[in-house]
Amino acid sequence: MSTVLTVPGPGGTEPDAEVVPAPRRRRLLPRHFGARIALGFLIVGVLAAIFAPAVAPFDPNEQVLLNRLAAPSLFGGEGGHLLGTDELGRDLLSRAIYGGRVSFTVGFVAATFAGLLGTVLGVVAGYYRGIVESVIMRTVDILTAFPFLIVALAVVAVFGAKLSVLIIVLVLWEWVPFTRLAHAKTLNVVSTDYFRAAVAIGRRGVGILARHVLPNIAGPLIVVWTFVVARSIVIESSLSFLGLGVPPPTATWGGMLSASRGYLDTAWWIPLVPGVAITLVVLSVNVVGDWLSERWDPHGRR
Amino acid sequence: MAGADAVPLLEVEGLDVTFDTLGGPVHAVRGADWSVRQGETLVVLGESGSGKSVSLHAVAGLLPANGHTAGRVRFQGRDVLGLRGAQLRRFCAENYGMVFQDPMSSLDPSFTVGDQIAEILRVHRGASAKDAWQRAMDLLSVVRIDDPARRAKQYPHELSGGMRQRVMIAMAIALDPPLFLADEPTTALDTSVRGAVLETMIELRDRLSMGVVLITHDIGVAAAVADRVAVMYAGRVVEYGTAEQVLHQPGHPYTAALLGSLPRLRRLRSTLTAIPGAPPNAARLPAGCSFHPRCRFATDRCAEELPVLQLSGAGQVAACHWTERLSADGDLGYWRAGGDPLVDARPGDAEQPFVAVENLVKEYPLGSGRKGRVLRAVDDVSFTIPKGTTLGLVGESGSGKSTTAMIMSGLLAPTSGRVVIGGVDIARLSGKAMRDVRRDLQVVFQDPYSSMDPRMTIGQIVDEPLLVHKRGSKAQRRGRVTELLDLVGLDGDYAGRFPHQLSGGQAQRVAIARALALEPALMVLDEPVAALDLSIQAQILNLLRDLQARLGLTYLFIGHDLAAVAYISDRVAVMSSGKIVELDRVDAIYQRPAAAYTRQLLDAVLDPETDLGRYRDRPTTRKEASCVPSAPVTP
Repeated sequence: MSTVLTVPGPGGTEPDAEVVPAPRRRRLLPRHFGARIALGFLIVGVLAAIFAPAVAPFDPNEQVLLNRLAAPSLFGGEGGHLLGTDELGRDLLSRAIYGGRVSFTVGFVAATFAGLLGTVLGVVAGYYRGIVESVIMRTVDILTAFPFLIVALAVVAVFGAKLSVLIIVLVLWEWVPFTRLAHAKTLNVVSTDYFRAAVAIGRRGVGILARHVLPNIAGPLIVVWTFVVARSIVIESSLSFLGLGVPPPTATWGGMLSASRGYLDTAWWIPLVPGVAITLVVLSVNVVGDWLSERWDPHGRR
Repeated sequence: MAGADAVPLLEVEGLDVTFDTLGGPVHAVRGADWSVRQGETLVVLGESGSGKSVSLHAVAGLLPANGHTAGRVRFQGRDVLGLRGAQLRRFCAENYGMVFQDPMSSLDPSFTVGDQIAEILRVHRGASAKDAWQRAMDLLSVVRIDDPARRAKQYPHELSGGMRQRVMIAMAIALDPPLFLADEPTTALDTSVRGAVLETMIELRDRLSMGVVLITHDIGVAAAVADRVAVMYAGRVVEYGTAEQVLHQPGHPYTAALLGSLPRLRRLRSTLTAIPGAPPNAARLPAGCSFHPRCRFATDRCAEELPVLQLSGAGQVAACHWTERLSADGDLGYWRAGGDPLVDARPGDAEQPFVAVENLVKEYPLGSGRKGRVLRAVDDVSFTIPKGTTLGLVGESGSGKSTTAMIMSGLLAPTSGRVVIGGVDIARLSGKAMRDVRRDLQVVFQDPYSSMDPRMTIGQIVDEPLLVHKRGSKAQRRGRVTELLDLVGLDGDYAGRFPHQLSGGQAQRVAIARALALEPALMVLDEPVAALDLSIQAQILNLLRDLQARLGLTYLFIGHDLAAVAYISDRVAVMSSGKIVELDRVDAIYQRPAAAYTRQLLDAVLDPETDLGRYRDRPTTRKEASCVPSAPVTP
């Protein structure tokens, strides 16, 4: 899709008749409308979760049994709760905001640590090859063959359902896609002429990995990171839904979904609130990831 | 050759091609005119971005969806540009035979070549499987493939590049098209098979009385086959006429400049007259004549007024305001100048060698490697290079020349043998000691873009070797970067740009500047001009010669084009199948080649001055009645 075939401007000995404009500063904000909305939504969501006590209109665990299953006032319900209340009369908006704390923590922390671990292992495997590569990549193969839910069940059974346990399980699980990709991409970079040129210049070891390998494989890894963030949020919700996540009464999106099962026909808003929250966050993370990887590509900077 | 009164088979008049892109419309072809008659070969000659391939694609209905055409293209009086969809496809299949640059990607790897030829006949002629197969084998023998019965059952990967291109030609002529369109048909082939493929094409043209349009960037190829030549620059035909007229008495300064940029064996010691600058971007053409910023004869008028190509009969025409004056004064003949006989006064073997390579071997295991089968990529290679001189290493693809280059630049360990550079055997070094040697040993690769980290600016790229070896403070290094860019003829402003913002020639200059940063004693140049346009190639070759004279560098110059290698080298080593078959001074190699393979390579070099009409005029010596294609198979 490159619009310009070659950049004009006489080559060298002649004074430039037509000077190529110097590269413009990178834009801080995405140009694309969808990416702006997604980024905005994520920032608002994360801030709301961080400052939940100040933002949330009610205490998320305060039960007002007289006001059970109040319809959302947003859609014309009465009871003064913007998004309605659940079966115990708890404010759903407040619970969704507090639930974001768990989801965002699990998503971002697990994906980031998994990404760091997986990238380092993948790059090391691709650069040093040999026995190191064999050990790392065979581990990847073995982990791929394990059914995750069963492992998670076992770990939770032994260590108990805690946020920290959940994150550790996810990190130990989610580094695999990063390693696969980082390994393959490193092999690509190692066979390029610019890598050879760097070796010829005298770059070695960590220097060449940090300067030439990592920056050139980062784009696709960022995209995977966003997938993993989204997937971790979904996994946390699924585990909570199955009762394996963070135990009640702590608000989590998955737990809210799980509790709503009995009221699907009478109180549609109970599953809707956490469901929409999960969907929008996952979607936004993916859109922002696309934008980040595009922004990372030097060819985009004209 | 066709008579002058023959009716044009294909007429292109005022062809315009515009592409819609995100950055606005790009006008790739601007009013091209040319025509081809039955039994005639028209060569469209131009550098990359000149619009030569795009105009062919427009004629063949192969433009992508964002391409729009204007003007007229008539085939036997019938309008071509108005055809759409199925109509266009049928028209092209019936009337055009087409061959492209890369025969490997044009053939389906999972079918035998015989099947692929037969399929055309079954689809378009409704031939039975048996008839189609028989005719496929006929066609393979027509394009001079030996043992067609066996070859037809082989898959594309089992054939050599030259044979694959012959298969493509067989497919192109399967339906007896009146017009044969070839887009850079020999560019991906080794020079030694290039001649034979061109010869086959011309032979078929005569036998089937086709018209041929051949697109090429190679002046030698143009000279060897063309009846008429159209030279394109920046989307326009700038000169048009017979091969003799255009290539021996050019009327346009661009054509003359191209001829002056071509390294030629007969004029090795004269400096190439490189064209300054780079071809313009189709999206931003200069006002007036597109060539004037690079033209040595340009005047104010050239910058203001666009010269128009006036087609007048069969004569030679050039789109230049000053053609008549320049031709009358003989100003355009400068490219012929300086053809001194080769007398080499440069240092020979006697001097103490700076580089000594002894019995170098590099083996790669084949298959699983357990059976001990190996490929000897480099097979017992020995040579020396005296300080301050250039050894040219010439060979075809698979000859082991690039493997040798990698070993010489310390990027690949040899299986055995010694590589002594400045008294140190680098084949045995590792770690710290290797790092010290690397300073003296730099390498320039073929593709300048892929040899630079796309995420770094030009300044960072040139600075990197200084940074790694801790040469001075930040300010000192910045000064040195400017100095280095200046040394290769680039303005210091380029430091802030990214590689993809440079033209090919500029990018290769940056790669050379980076290699020079540590003041190396030896530069390994691995096909440094092969990816560049001819006019840029001459700039880089001259730059390398100039740098050598100023800095006393020693070069190992790898290449496949004997003329370019000979231009820059003091001595030349000819490599084939991993072995050096001949090593001698340039003049000796050229005047008294000892090895048969060297003679073959020398013979394959096409010089527009001496090889004009070489394949075009060759009388058909071989007459094989059986080769005359049988009548089209009818259902």
